[in-house]
Amino acid sequence: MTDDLVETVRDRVTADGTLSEAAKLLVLAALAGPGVRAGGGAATGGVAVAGDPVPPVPPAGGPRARTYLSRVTVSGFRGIGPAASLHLVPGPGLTVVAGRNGCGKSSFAEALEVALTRRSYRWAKRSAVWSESWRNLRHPHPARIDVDLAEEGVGTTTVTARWTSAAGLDDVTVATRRPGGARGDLDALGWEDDLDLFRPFLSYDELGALFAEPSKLHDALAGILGLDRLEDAAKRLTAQVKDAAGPAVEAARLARRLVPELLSCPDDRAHRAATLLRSRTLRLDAVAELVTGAAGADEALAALRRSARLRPPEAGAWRAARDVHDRAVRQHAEALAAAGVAAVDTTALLRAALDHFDRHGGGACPVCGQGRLDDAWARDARAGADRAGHAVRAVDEAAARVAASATTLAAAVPPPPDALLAAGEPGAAAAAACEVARAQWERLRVLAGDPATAPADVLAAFAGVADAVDDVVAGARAALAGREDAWQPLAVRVAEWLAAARRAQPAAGRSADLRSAERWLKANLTDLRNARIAPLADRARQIWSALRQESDVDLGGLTLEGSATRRRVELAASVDGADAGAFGVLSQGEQHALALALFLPRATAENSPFGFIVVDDPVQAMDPAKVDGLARVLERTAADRQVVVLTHDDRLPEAVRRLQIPARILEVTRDVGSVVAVHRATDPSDRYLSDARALASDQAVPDDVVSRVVPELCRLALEATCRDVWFRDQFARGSARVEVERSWARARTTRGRLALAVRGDANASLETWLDERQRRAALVVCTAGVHVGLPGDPHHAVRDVERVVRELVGARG
Amino acid sequence: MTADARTEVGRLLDAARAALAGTGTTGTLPQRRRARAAAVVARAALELAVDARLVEHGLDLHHATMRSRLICLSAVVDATAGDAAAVAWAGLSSGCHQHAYELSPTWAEISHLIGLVEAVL
Repeated sequence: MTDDLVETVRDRVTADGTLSEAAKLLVLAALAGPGVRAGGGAATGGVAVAGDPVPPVPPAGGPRARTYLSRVTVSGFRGIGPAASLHLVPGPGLTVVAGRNGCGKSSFAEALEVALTRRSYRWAKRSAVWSESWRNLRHPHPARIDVDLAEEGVGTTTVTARWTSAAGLDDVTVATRRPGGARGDLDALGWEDDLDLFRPFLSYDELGALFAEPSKLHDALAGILGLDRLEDAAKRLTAQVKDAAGPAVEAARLARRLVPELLSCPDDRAHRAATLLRSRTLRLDAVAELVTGAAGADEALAALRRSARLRPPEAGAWRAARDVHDRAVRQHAEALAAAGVAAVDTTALLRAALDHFDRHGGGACPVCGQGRLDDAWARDARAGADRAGHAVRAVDEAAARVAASATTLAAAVPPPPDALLAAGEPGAAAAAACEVARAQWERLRVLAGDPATAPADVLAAFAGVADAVDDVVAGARAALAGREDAWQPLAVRVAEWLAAARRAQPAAGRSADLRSAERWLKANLTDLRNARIAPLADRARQIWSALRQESDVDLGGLTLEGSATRRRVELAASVDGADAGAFGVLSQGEQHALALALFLPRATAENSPFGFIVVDDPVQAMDPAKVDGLARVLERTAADRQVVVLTHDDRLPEAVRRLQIPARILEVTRDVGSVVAVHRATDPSDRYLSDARALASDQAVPDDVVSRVVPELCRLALEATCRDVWFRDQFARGSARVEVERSWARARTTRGRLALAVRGDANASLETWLDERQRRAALVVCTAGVHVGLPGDPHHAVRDVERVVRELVGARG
Repeated sequence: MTADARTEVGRLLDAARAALAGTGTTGTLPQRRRARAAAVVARAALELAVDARLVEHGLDLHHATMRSRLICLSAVVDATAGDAAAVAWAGLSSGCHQHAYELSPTWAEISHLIGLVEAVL
């Protein structure tokens, strides 16, 4: 069924063109179970190559070995006092255990359930008073249950449940003993999950309760169909999606909170970060640069930083220049005084006259107009100018120095820096401060450049500029600090986002695949469910149609709907062709029939290890026609299962007899002191023999008919017994079911089948066994008699065959 | 089976159905008696059908008990028909008899049994 499920899903997944290969693998891996991850690296084991998604599931084994019941022996438990045994024939077949209410037959069923599961459904639902009275009142100790199981491939295993004299029901000790003496506890059988899943015990109570709680019915069906595996797989995918998306979700969550704050932050970096965080294409490196400060600052920030670095002009340079200038002026005055101002002027005049003479030649003196300027004059004048020249040159040089120092002085205060020109928005406080500082600075330049200004005034102006610049710097620093205060914490969080986004990046591809795998599985869950349930619904419908008899309710589709607390089973039904919600229109008896219809398929699922099912009182609340249907259903089920039915009234045994269904009918009686006994009422061969006797006794039946039909009935009786003996012996020995059935089918002759029962081999010789006269006579009746008719008295023939039948059953039973 | 027998069985079964439905000459029957009347007619049809099938195989059991006839039908003629006949016989027999402590057979039950009689043919 498990492989079946994977198969179904694989077919669907493969057919789905919208799903990526990776996503397909993820779906199949999730189905394969926890711990299996597609594409997850070394731990995954066999992950298939793309294009042929083969899920890593354990290889499918053959059909599971089945176990049958051989015997249940009970003492000191419920209605059973001293030890009583219920002998069953291991292997397929129908056994009806009939007994009046209170005879102890249900105690066998409960004992079986307790021994195999340590609990009983009946008690789980009842109060403590109920479960405290589990011991037999007249025979409370020892309380003990022995169950002999015929395990295919193993042999007869005994499960023993024991209680000490003071123990409560739950304090049971369960031990198992395998052939060869290997001992273990209950877990050694490895049935814990299977017992839950396939529930080979069906009781009236349990069947009724399933309809009372739709979610229970749902769970029971879902479990058997492996649907819980689908749900689990969906859950696993959801968890994986969450895992894989974790960092991305975290990053998105961080970004969601961060972006508005970034946008409300005045810092330009914050705005840029916001843009990056909101961008569809992730530019993690750009974000990293922003956070680490590696990114270039913006203009406003740069201006602020420049403003913060502003220095006021130095008074020192100006002072030095001013000193130089003042000295130069003083020295010029001194030189002038030393040379005599007149001499200097005269010399200047002479040089001008000589210059004039050199350019225009001699002539009348242009100054006085009486003298004459000629070469002689020029010679004298030059000599005179040269004589005075020394002193006059000193004056000239001093004058040049004055001019030079004045220039230096004018440039001693630099122009206001650009930072003052551009800082801040016009009108803002920072801009106003800059404006003031710049005006002061310009005024200082004018004052400082003018040698006439009193030094004290200049120094006062310096101080004014320094104050104004300080104002600007302080403002800029405050603005800078404000921006950092706002940005720094944001930067830390952007860094957190960055880390999350970096973690999310490698998972992004896988995450997308997981998401589509999850979406696909969830979308297909309902379909898958109902595809899985269809075969079971078909079987249920078949069983229902046998059971319903005169019910006018037609069973339609069966679907599992809803999930979590709203999960339930939907059953389509129609009454006389009109749609009706099934559960409402069913009578009590019909509900039980339906529960049986649903759960017989469960208990007889192909991969169940249980070859047996025990049905306790299915007949209650059923009307006669349905009992016939039930008998037919049980007959069909018994074709390949050991079906044990416990019933409190005659109707089912009666129906089985009337419908001539091959069945073993056991009768349970209870005497005073809780002494319970099981009697063999009839088995299949009895029916044939009783028919043979009835025919032989009917005088109105012609002899030729009697001699034709009686041997046929005798043969059927003998072969039915041989079959029982063969199956019982082989199953008790642990032989493989398929082999046992094959050997039986191959032994076509009555003699061969007798040899199987007597010798365990269809080809073995029966000669020594047939030495006894009656045995040989019986075989002759069943073989030659069938073909040539009975040689003698039909009553004798029936008696001979019956004796051999009893001998075979007794010798091996 | 002779055509006569087949026709006769068919006629009786039609009558049984008519009785059950309350149509035709049995239309005057009160409703609570219809199923029982139908059972009686169907049982007669069953007897006829079983005999006819036995005769087909050279078995003249006209005077034998119904049990013997049913056993022979199953063992010699046709196991499926034999099973159907046995079930129908048991059901119709109990449907024919009025017991103070038993409820009347239901419409659906008799109708189902009539179907089984048909299967014997």
